[in-house]
Amino acid sequence: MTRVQRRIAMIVALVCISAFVLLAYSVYGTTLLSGQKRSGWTLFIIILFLAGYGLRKRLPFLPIGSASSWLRFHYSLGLVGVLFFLCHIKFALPNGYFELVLAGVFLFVTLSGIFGLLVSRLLPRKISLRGPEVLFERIPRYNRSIQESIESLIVDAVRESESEILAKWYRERLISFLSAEPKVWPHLMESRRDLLRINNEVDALKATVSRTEQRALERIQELIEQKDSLNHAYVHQLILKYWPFFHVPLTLALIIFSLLHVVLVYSFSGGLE
Amino acid sequence: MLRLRVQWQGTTTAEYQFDQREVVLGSIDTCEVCLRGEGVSRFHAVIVNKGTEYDLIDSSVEGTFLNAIEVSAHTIKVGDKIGVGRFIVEVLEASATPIERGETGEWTNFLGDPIEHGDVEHLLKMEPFASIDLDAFPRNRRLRSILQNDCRLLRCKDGDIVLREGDYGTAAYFVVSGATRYVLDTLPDEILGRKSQSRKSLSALFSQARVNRLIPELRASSEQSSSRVLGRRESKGKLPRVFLQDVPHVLDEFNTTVLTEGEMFGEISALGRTPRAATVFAEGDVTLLEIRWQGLRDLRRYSPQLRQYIDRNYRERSLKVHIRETSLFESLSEEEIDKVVAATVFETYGEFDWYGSYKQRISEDGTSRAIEEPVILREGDYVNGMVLIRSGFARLSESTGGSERTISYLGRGDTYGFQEIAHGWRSDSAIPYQRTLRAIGYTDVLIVPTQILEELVIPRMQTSQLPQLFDLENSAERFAFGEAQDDSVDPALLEFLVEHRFNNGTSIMMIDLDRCVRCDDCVTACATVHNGNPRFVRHGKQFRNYMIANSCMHCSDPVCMLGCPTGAIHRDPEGGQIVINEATCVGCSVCADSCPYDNIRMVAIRDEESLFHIDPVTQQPIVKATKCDLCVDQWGGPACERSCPHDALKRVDLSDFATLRKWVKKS
Repeated sequence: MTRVQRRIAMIVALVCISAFVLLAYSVYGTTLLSGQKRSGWTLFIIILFLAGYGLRKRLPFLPIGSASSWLRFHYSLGLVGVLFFLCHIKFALPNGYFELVLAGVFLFVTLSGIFGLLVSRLLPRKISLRGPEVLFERIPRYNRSIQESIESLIVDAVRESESEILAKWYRERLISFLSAEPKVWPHLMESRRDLLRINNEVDALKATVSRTEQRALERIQELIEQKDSLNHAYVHQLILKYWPFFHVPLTLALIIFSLLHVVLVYSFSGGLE
Repeated sequence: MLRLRVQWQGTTTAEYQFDQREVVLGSIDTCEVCLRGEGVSRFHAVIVNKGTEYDLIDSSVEGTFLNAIEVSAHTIKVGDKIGVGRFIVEVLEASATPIERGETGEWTNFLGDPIEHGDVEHLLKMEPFASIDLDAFPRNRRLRSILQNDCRLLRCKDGDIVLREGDYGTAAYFVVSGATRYVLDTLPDEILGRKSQSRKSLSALFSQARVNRLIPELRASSEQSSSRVLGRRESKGKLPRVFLQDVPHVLDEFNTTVLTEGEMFGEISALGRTPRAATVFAEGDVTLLEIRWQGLRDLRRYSPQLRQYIDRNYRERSLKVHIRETSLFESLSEEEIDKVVAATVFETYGEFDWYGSYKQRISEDGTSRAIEEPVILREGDYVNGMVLIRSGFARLSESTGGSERTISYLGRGDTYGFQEIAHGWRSDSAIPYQRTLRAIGYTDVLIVPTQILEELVIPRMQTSQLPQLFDLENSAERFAFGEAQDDSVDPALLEFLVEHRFNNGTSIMMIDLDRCVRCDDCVTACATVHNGNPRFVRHGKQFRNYMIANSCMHCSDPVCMLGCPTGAIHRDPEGGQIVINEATCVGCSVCADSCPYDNIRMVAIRDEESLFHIDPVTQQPIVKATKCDLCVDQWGGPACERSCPHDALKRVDLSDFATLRKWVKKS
């Protein structure tokens, strides 16, 4: 089965399951039976299964299916879980404060999951399109190395030309560009405004300096391009690495709140079914 | 002696002095040089005493810098500054002294002693050398020089293992005096110095997740016991020799035959780069002539007697099997197969030890590399037979103007030339070869004569089974036929894989960077199943969005296995993975030095107290070779592949391009 065929099969299965859930919900709605506990327990089990993906990642030695199969299952079950959640809250905002918080946590978990799905689909290609692969942990070191190379080029150029134009420009403009934290949004939007701005400055500077300094500036321009590529890789990898730091703790909070919710429901149900 | 000075922002914080084999730089207490700070990995880099010099090997995620240049492995000298995070480690003294065992510089894959002049004279009086026509050898390659330069005298004692079944080797052996035993049965793993790769139990699976990850390369003291079946003979300056402790038991339990003075063994696997077919050990004191493949090749080339001898053995033992395995000859009877076998010619092209010049060659441009490759058959030549690739790889190319264009690559079992022969037979007009076939690295081929195919094979085939006729008018159409052709994988990707000899891998780690989210789950999973020590680096050569990570590729031509003195590195008989039995690994680093892809690492092993295991004889830390074992003892296959959540990582078998095609298409 090709990837496209598998996706189509998955979507068809999801549509069927969703239709079944909605049908069951509408049928229950016409009867005097309460579907709340049933949908609640189903939802809780779904949440536990979804959290099981994290456990699978910690047990790579167990022959319990590949992580990619688990992730696909995680996506599909997550969507079904949203449907159960909507049925459980009867497509309306909960009326208790605690339930409101619980619903809010569920919403944030879902949104962070969808965010994760989107970034894991979109960002890798952007990183590989931009340039050679670089390990995230090595980026700060590369940045330092670039800065040291630029500084040494400028020192050499100043010594040779006996002019302080480049040193002044470095102190006033370039150092802030080199030492600034990478800007997330412009890089995500593939904006090259900052790079163009600094390149324009270099071009303007070239017209006013000696041949030695021009040569240094040409090399500095290449290093600035490299620095920009590193910033690009850093921003994209940062998002890919750190979005689970929202999703996973929120999931844990959701499980704890759900357990509390179960306890409260049974404590205050007064023996009613 | 190694002296280091650690500096933090220009201030000296510590000075160290070492005379051990390995010095680990990292951020945890167990490292010899502990550097706590931003950008320092737990085990950041290692400085290894190579006997004559010290090498700096990076093992970090942040990178190690030598004089401000990032390095993965580099020799260091006095005055060098090593950048680890924000620390600068200055080399104050680096006078490496040879270590009794563990030194690699002067070792070769030979086990024997150099041949003296008197030995040559003695050998020349013995058969088969006595009857060889000395004048048949060219002036620059006399028989004497072959015996002196390409041979060694190997003196074995009772029980010494000369060859192990399943090992690879580049030498053949000739019995000069004494007797050896050729074991007809397959010996148990324990006798062969191997470890049965049984899957771990459920409790063992879980216990590997609880191992202490703060100690690198931790091995329990209890695991370091020696074998009861095998002994080890050490001799200074040489690779150790392994011997059977209980020869009478082996003779009683297993069928053996005696090989005595004047007999040769191991020549087929040495020339054909195939696994040794049997185990041979010394019975009493034996002197053997060890002939390396270069010598063997030339002896066969210039001596008709030896050629006849080797060819006869080859035809009897191996050729028939190869011919029978080829689908074209499936329908032939036993007599007809014999006829094919008798007429088939076998040849070897290229460098047998291609891996020696591999790194230099990949830095050259592709065109000059292709032109230097030896020609097996040339476009326009008369079609005198069909080429069947027995081992290695070949490049199929077509001339376009003044240059050559690569069309496809042929691997083991592929054929070329049948379409031209069939065209001639069907159209009654012979055509020459339409393409040029060149050996990549080392290629072993069989040539089945045209006449045999026209007589025994083609007449039995229906027209629909025969390959299409060439469209000689339309040159574009010449690319459209199918024999040994694979046009659905991007030719540039294929070119990249072959240029870097990745086609040698049966399990290369290929990462699609368009899908990889850089989560490092693969590295974590690998570390989890290998006691906290990942056996690969998520880094490597890149072509467009594909990366070939630095992980053992489990090569079809495993050059790492050539010359292992104890047989510790071997091919798993069941799964075919290349694995290392640490119990018999003596840390000689022959495998790591041979691996052209740098995918084997030598590590000093430590005990539960984080202290090095010390060899009682040499008083030096015990070193072992480590690499990816494809999770042979785990359930469900390689953990790296199974733990990739986005199907971005795949272990691809490049001896079969269909696997690659399937995955590339899928991704």
